[in-house]
Amino acid sequence: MNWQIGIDTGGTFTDVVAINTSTGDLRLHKVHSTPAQPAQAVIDSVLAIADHAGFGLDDIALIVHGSTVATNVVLTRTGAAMAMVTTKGFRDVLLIRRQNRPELYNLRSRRPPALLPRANILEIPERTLSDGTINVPLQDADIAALADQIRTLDVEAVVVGLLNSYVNPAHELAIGERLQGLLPNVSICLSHQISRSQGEFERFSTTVLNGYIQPVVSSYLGHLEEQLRAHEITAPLFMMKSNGGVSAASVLAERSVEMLLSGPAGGVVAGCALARQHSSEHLITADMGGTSFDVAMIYDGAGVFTQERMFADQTIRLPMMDIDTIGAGGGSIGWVDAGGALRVGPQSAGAAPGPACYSRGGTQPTVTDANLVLGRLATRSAMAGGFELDVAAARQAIDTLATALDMSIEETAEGMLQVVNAAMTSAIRRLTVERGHDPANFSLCPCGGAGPLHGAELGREIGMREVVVPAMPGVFSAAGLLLSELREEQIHCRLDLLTEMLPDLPEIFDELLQEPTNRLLASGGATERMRVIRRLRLRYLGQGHDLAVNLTDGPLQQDAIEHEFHRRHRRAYGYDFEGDPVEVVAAWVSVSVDLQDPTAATWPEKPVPTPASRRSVIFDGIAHDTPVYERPDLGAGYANSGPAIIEQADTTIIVLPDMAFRVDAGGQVILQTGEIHA
Amino acid sequence: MPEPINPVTLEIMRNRWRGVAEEACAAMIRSSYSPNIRDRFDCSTALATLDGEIVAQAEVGTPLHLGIMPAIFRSILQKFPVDRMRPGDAIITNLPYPEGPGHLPDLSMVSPVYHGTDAVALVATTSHHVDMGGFAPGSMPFGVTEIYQEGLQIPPTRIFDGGEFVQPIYEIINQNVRTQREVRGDLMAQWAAAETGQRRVAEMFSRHGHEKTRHYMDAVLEHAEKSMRAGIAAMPDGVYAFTDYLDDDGFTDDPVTITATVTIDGDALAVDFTGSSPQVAGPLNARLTAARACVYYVAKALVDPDLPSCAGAHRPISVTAPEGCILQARFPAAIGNANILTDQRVVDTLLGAFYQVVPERVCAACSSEMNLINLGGIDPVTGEYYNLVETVGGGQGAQIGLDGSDGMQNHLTNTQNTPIEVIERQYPVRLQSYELIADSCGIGEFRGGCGIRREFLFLGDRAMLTIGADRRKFVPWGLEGGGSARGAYAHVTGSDGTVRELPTKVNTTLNHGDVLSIETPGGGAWGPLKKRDPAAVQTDLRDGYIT
Repeated sequence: MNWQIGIDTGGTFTDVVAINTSTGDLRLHKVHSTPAQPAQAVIDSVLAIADHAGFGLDDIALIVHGSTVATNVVLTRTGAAMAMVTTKGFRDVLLIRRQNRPELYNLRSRRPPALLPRANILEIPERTLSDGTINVPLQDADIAALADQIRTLDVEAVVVGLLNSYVNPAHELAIGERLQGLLPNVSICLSHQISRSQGEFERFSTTVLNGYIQPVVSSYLGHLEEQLRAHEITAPLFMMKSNGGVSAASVLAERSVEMLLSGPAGGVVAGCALARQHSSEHLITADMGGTSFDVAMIYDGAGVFTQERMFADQTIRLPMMDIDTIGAGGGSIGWVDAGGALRVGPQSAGAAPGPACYSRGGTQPTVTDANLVLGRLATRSAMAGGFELDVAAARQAIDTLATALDMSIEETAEGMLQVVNAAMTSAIRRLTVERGHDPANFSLCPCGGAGPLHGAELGREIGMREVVVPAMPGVFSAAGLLLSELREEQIHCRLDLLTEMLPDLPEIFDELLQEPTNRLLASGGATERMRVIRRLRLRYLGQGHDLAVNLTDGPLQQDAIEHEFHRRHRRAYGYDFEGDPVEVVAAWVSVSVDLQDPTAATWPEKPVPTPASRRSVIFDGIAHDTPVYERPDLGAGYANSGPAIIEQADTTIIVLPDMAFRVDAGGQVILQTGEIHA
Repeated sequence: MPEPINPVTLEIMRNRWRGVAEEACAAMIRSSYSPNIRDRFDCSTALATLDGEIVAQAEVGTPLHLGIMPAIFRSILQKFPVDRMRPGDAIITNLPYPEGPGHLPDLSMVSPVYHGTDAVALVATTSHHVDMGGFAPGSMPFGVTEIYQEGLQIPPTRIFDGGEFVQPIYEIINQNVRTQREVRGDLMAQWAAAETGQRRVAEMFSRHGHEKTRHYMDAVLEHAEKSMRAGIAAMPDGVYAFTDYLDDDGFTDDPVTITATVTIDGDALAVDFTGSSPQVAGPLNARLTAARACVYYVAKALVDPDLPSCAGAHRPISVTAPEGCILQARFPAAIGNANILTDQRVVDTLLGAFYQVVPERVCAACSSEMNLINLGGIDPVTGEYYNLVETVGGGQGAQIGLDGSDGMQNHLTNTQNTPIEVIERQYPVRLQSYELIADSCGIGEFRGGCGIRREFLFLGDRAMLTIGADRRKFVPWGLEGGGSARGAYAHVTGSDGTVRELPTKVNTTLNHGDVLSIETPGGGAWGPLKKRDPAAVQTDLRDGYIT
């Protein structure tokens, strides 16, 4: 039981990393993704890496998986047909949202549609008041009538969102239980269980998103676990969550909305580790795979979080990593629009049929084909599973575009790279420049199979400090999965004065710890290694927003808690109201257990390398005779200047002419974005 | 010789200024007390040059606040030139005459920003306070004719002096307002925004250097001016006029006329409001400051919604109205509800004029009244004065190719609703419904949005209610043959079942057990109904938007 496995499913490839925890031996592998049956590629990847590394399936200690299943369901609007049950009189809370419009000055701006039609939002007579008392009790006959109505709607999920359920969830629980009995094949989501917070719209919206995703995700996870069992793999399966922590798959089958950013989150976790290890603490991770491009900011060595965000036009209130995704990747298809302009993406050749050069039936010109035609990619690339890439097919695919544009094939290929780079540049600008951050203070960390092919040009174009190519960029996200931790959080909302609540707090925290601890135990976390963080969200009585104050171990002292709150308020806003009553909004706990100790890898020094080969590569319309290095040959401390190509099993790194590069002590290849002037 | 403008640096600087304005606004919202600021975002922030030319604004709350900001800087700088300010100062005013905020509840605060010992910029906030005293809770009463009745008037006055809170001034304010805790909290939240602005602007000057940062402040303004001029120049030259009406001023049944004459001449835009009604008895009067804000809003919306919100974009625009007209009323005419009613009608009038210029960019009339509710009294539980402030969205006007959205804020306001779960914890009311009104939309090839019904069960002992609504007689119009929408209604059902219809503009009393029902207008349609896609009609029927 020595091997830990991280599996990152992308639109084109599924990356897998295996680490032997006793020897430190690390293996990586790629298989083609299987979008029609996503679980297949996961199983394939486990079997392949075990075979490749020579360990038995019973030697696997745990599997951590980052999946885009949830993301894709929302992006492609292919989620469950749903009904929603809400308090009578409040059918349109979900539709009206917060009544504001998305853009202040754009008259054509429209509120995006909800994930279910108004006809499927059903009301039930019931009412819980803001202090939790029941004003209108539930009638069983009403629930039974609802069930009949829901049957006629033919839905897979029912969301129950009632007013004030965050204070007293009794009615949601009662409706949930009764409906589940009457409608055994429908999945039921209760708003207080998904996002227990004040504010009906945000809670309902998050829960609706969960209902939309859940049937697809739980069937995926169920299928995956079944397949693992069929192969007699008994290792527990953990899923990466949007907050950078992991949970057991069984836990997430009911909380699928937490998996919305499961795919790209691993890359951010790995980026944080890199930022802490590397001198640059501000990093932009730019993960370019076959289908999509994910960017995230790491500031002061930590991922940037949002508590509430829009995702594909839907409001979601959960702590999540702030990751932006656009449709740009190696598989993005080039085309000519009605106005005669060259465009790239967002359509992608994906895993099937894939780029023309993969000889898997693709005929459309992709970014990968363009890289191949320009000599940036070798004809035999380990990254594509070791098969020969078909240059003639790539040229033929691009030729159709070139003819339409009246340009040469090479010019067209470079044009495609410029267009796709511009799209990725804008995504990075949105994260930095548009938020007032100067990119010159950040390093770019290009990763994913295609990232390092484009990183040099992106970094230079945006004027970032430097480009840091990690040791294993092609499986960066997969490796990040194994650097994560088991993490469960729970919140208890009760508005009360701190003075009043203080005597109850020890009991409240004890109770609050139970469920996340159980989830953690269910995930296999060992009690003795658990880290517990207890936190109160406080405000002055009458204020609307709160500040979180971490509690220290030991007995709770009102003076100490208030003192810390005043201090934090002063720091945040420049003043405090010392002496005013302090109100508790919520108590919050986080329980976590590390999967493993992240240890910084060191990279050996090596003799001065000789290029493994040379080939002609086109940069800016000019063919350069370019040395090609094998990355394992480049020792720590080695420095040289471009043009150069550095190849490794999982990717290809491009160093532009007039660009210096070096290898640092951790094995990262650092590209200096500025031009060298001899 | 200043260095040439680098377009990338310009972009970074422009976004950085906006980012600071947004961060300052976020600090105000997060530390505020009243649901009107913390949940509804009825507030705004701006950063300006030392001359009061706005470099960036936070596009958060209301375009109206943002368009009025230039007048606030002028008003304060006139009395407090920058060389008479010092670090840690904050000047407040809520006085609309001769120019300033739109009405008394909008208290504005301006602070100088220093880099080292040099004043380099100004930071301003406007926050709609829940009460400023006067005749009725919320300080936006009807049935009044003078600003004296509307509340406490604060001319430009120091509230922070070198970082010290000016207690005597505060005590005068505190004594005059009903909701003391909330006014204090929201005032300090404005100070939090000023502090944040000071910190972040100073960082910018440190990072990029004094010269360069100042240089790029001008560049930001020039860039916006150029963009606005190019947009105006692309419209056909000519003179275009339109007239629309408010139902009444709350005293008589006489309609109130708004007439706009738009002149496009090369790259300049001039709007004159001659022909509009003389000032009225009721509180619908405004100063030209507000009409300017309406023109800035419409120009930006029609030229390029993504244009930076800064004073550069205002340079090609001139706005005039005769003295004594409803849009340039003489002191001490009552002014409190122009913000929510008159100004929205000015926008519809301008859109009617621009329909003759760029019809494809214009929408049919939206609900175009903010449907204000102010409900105030003594809380039976806490014994403290409360005042619930809400504006309720309505139907959006349809446009070529697009149905209007249902139940949404439009034009000069974009405040959020107060969550029901917040209202019920904070005020002695219980919501009974919050829903869209079937058949309230204008119907046509593209339908307008539906209006909203919001019903409050009142649980206090006795409260004073102000409602400010419009478009019951002059309902939201359609375009290109599209239908008009249903108008605004309100009624109170007593605990004994008796129903009392309310006029659109009223102060009245609510008693324990009364249910107040507010119904907002829909939006006008675009194009004739016979051209509507039959599938869209079926969907609307299935979903109950029409019956």
